[in-house]
Formats: sequence, structure tokens, C-alpha cells
Amino acid sequence: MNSQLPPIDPGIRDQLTRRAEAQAPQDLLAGIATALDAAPAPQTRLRWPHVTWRAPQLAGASIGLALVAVLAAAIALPAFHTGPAAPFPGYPAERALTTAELASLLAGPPLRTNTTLVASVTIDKREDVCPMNRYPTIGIVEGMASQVCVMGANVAAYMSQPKATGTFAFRYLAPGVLGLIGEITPASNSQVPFRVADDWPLAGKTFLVEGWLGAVGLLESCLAPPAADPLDPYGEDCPYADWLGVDSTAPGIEADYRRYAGAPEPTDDPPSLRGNARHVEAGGMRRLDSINPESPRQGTYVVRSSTEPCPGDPPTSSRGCSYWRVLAEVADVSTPEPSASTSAPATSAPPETPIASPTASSGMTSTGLIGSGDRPLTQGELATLWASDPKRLAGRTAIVKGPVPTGFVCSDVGAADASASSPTCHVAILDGTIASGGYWAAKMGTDGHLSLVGELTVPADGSYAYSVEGLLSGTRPKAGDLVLVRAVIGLEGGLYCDLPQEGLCIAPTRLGSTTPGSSASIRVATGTYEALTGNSKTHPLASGVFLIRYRPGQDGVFGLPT
Amino acid sequence: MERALVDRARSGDRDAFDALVRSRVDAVYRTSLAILGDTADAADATQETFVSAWCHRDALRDPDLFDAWLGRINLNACRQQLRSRGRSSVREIRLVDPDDRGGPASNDRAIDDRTADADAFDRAFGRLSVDDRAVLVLHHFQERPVAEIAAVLGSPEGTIKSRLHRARAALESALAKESR
Repeated sequence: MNSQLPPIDPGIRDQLTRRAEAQAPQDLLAGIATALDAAPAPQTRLRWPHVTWRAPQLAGASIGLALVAVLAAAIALPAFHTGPAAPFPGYPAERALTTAELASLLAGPPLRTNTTLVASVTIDKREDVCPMNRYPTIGIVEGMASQVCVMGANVAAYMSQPKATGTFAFRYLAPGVLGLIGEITPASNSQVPFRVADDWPLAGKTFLVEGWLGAVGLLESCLAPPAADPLDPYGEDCPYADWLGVDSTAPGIEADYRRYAGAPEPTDDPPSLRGNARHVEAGGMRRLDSINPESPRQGTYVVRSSTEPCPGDPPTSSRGCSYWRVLAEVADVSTPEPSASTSAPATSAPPETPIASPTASSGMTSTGLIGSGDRPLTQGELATLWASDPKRLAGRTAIVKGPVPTGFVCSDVGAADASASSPTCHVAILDGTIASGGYWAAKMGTDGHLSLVGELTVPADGSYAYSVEGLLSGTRPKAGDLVLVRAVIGLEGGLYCDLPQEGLCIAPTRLGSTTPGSSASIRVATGTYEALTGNSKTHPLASGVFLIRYRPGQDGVFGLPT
Repeated sequence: MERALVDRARSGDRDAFDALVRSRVDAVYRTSLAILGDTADAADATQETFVSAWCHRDALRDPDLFDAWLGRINLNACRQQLRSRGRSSVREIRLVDPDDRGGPASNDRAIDDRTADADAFDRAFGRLSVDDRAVLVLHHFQERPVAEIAAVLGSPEGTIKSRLHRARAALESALAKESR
């Protein structure tokens, strides 16, 4: 008996004894032994910060039962500035880029995909340029050295006039292509960004705020939704509550959650100033811009005021509740010096289309190779990639359209050392094939030879990668099938790791849907997230294409989204 | 002896870990069943508990804390199992076979009453959070010392009493709703 605790209640004890009176199933021990045989090697010990308590925001997140192994993730080939660079004075903390500055920046080396820029420009309405699957064309930016297209989901808002002049926030999508986040409402005639304590614009306005973006960790059990559209990322940020503040701490925001410990939600008016900070929603942009929620970051942020029906209000209510959604962090870019140059490797087979679609990979280890649009690589494309850096690609898994060659070799005299990166490598495809038709996962060897991982099972709709929903609801793969899944990877829960003596986290890895609002997900081998991302403490989501092998669980079924 | 077994398991000795599994599988299963109230869920949670413990065995620094550590993992597994329930709308219900009622009619009523009480308790218990369920199970069923309850729940010892009080109040409130 514990003297400090209430006495044992016989009624509760009897009922709990009744609930627990069954013996463990006879086959349970055998099942545990089998699962232990298949269990991955121990992971690095995980530590989690102490977190405050809040009831889950996302109730009933759907769970799948499939046990799969992630073998590879889409590679993101980053583009970097080269050479020395000079900053634009006053940008972005005080002003927007001018047309000339934007032109200079875009004429230089490619920026990293999703880099956010703010510029005062004129957009010339055009619909006949820059065909792109993802977004319709709004127009082109006037005054650029070469054509710069502006794409966006919300075309109608900017197409009513032949030309639109103003200050706009863009995300850099590709060379010559900008995605429009929105038109910026300036703080004043002389200052573009607002301060945290200013009165921020309402009514759906988009504006800049200069301050610190941070988050309060919450004890929640949820799988956060994907970052989704880089031009309009979602705001919810499970299991964090974001804030935008004057300083690197936000005691007012933290007090809101402490005060309501154990209760569902803070009931304060979300848009109000809480001490020196405001509640904001920044889940999607933080993943897109790789911002660690536990390390407040000072910057200039694109914010939009949004209004939704208030919780509990009837559908007919005209009242609305506003909140602030952070859409992007404005990049502090620099203009490259003219002497900066890039040198491309000489190859015998340049790719027909860009290889490797950049993703919001959030530091995920890229272990695979795949074409843009999740398309399997052709022989020529794979040869080109291999020739560019054989050493880097050794050991990686490539998604290849058959026929799959035996391998590659550098054909140049003096370039016999194929294991070293050589800009003079003229690649030759070795005779013979290891697979003919179909689509294959193949591993790159250090000597240029390929070995097969297996043939892919592809969706019936002509695409190459499944969505999570497609995997759950369509014709299910057979045991052992290899499939590609476009998804976000994250940890399920994982918030119960504050054991006083030692940190411990046993959160399983999940692949979640990339569809906004969808909570469909499937479980994959525990430890996969940590292995792919090298990240255990902060668990940001990472998106990509994952090669998985379906291994049915003991019950042999997928779970279905609720 | 027990500490040596845990030490060996931590260092990757599978036989030692299997021995720990065998000696604890029934207890872990019963705890899971008390919390979850469903045999299939309890079996899944039990398996997940031991697999996770094996995968993260290097997280255990003090072998003397093995049972508290395992309890914590088990509680996490139960949480995850409850969250995953959304996948299935099928729930088991307790049935009383009429042929088993060999006694007189008055006994039938007693059985009915007990069954009704049990069902009401299960429904009420199902309304509680996992942590509320866990603290009630750890105290009223397992009679664990406060330090172990604190370690399993990850709470300071000083707050266990208030958590028990809160969980008990939540259970009584849920029972009252079930009896309406």
C-alpha cells in the first residue's frame, strides 16, 4: 500500500481484474519472437525536450497496418551559388528587391528551389508561356534579361488587368519560373515589413513581418499533415504551437498553454498580441523552409490573415475567427559576382528533361535516384548521372526504365579511375542487360555495374508512384511487391520520451499523404525515419518518393483511412 | 540474476531478452488488456512493447529500472494502439451464453446485473484518456509504488496523487453518464 496515495478501491480493482483476466494468447510469444527476428538494429538513443500538454488537435488520424521497408528516397540535387556574393542593402528587412535586382539575381546561378523573394515588379499578363503541370501561368515579369514566368494557383486575382504592378512575394520554382505567393501589403510608404507589435492587416491580406519565428512543443499524438503547396502551405503544425515574436522567447504564448494544461485549447483570441508575440500557424512553411521549431529563427516572414468559421458556430453564423498563417520565410539573397561560373561535366548523353525533382527534403538523406515527375530514368539519363559523379552515386538505388544495362564505364583515355569524379568522363553503356522491359529498382555499384533490387509494381493509372491513398484504397500490392510512394515521412506520436532517467522514444515511422487535409498514412519499419533523416530530436516531416517493399503484418491487411 | 539478464539483453543477447519476454509477457498483456479492453489490441500492444524495447535497448541505462522502463514503453504502445482504432469499427461485445445459466432464476438476475455493471464500467473506462486509464490501472490494479507510477507516466512523484484523483473523478463522471 502506498501511504501517499489514495487507498485501493475494491470496486475499481475488481473491474480492472475482470478486464485483465484473460491469458495471453498462446501464439503471442511466437509472434513476438518472429517480430524480434525482423526488428531493425537498435537506433541511436533519442532524446526529446520536455513538452507542455495539450489535447490533440487532430482527432482520429487514420492509421494503416502495413509493415513496409523504406529502401530509398528521392534524391534532391541542390543547386548552389558559386563564387563570392554581395548582399542587397536593406533587403529584405526594409524593402523589396527592385526589378533590376531581381533580374540580376535570376540571371545568376540557379537558386535553391522554393527560395522566397519579395520584389516590386510589373507582371505582364500572358497565358501562352511556360506550360507547367502544377500551376497555371499568370504572366511574365517585365524588365528581365530573359523570360521569367509567374505561375500561381490563384490566377483570377491577378488576371483582371493586362498588367499588375506591385510588391509581390514569390517562391523560386525553377530557372525562369517564379511561383506567386501573393501581393504584399506594405506597412507604410517607407517600410515594407510590419513589426510584431504593429496592427497587422486583416481581411485576407498578405504582408511581411520581421521577427522571431518559434514554437511551443506540445504533448500531442498526431501525424502532421504534409507541407503541400509551396505557394499556399497549410498552417497547422502538430505537435507544435507556432509564434512570431519580438524576441527569441515568447513567455506569453507559453503561458497560454501552461494555463490550459490538460484542457483542449487556449481560448484566447488567437490574433491578439500575447506579451511580445502572437500565435501564428506555420507548419507547412517551416517544413518547406527547413526551420527547426525548437530553435527560434529571426527573419522576415510572409504572413496572411485568414478567417474561418469560429469553433462551435452554426454554419449560418456570419461571425468569423481570424488567425495568422505564415507562408514563407523571405530569403536574404545576395547577387553573385560576374566571375562566378559553373562547369558542367562533359557527357555523351544529356538528359532530355531535368533529372531529380527537388523536394522539401528537410535534411533527408537522399539514397535514391529518380526522374522528374517521379519518372523512371532512362539508360541515357542514368549514364549521365553516373558520369557526373560515380563515387557519389555508388551504393544508391536508381529507378530505371527497362532495359537495364549491365553498367557503365568511362571511355576516355586517362579517365580509367571510374571511382573518382571526373569532368572528362565520357560514359559508355556496357553491353548486355540485366533486365528488359518494365520498371526496375537497381543499385549502382562502385565499379559502374548495376544490380537489380526488383521490378516495380506501378499504379494502373499510368503514373509511376502511388499516393498513400492509392496504396490504401486501390488494388493492394502483393506481399514482397516493390512500389514507389510519394509521401511525407514522419514519426507517429513520439512525444512520450521524457522518462526522467533517460530519453526514450519508440515512435514508429509513418508515411503520410501529401494531399492537403488528408490524414491517410501507413506504418513503415520503426527506425526508418531516423535512418533516412538522421534526425531524432526534432522530427520535422520530410517529403519525397519512397521505394517500399510490402510486407503484410500478421493480420495481412491494410488499414483504411477513416 | 535478474539484473544480469537485463545487462545481457542490453548488450544484444537475444536469449537473455527472450527470457525477459517470457517472464513478463503475461503481465504486459494483462496490463494492456486492462487499459485497452480488447484482446486483439492488447496482443498488438504487447508485441509492440517488446519489439520496441529490443530496438531501443540501448536507451536503458539503469538495469534496475527495467520494469518501469518497460511499463513506459507499454503505455506508449497502448496509446498508439488506441489511436489506431480508427481503422476498425468492429468492437467486441461481451455475450452471456444462456446455456451456461444453470442456476435458478434469481442467479440469472445477478448475472445480468454483473454483466450490466461490467459493460457500464467498460464503456465508462473507454471514455477516459490513456493516461487516466493507466494511472488507475497502475494503482488500483497493479498496486505499484508511487515512484514506479511516476516513472511509467513520466510525471513527478508529487503529482501522481492529483492525477489519481483526477482520473478517479473522470471515471465517476463517466460512470454517471453511462447510468443515465
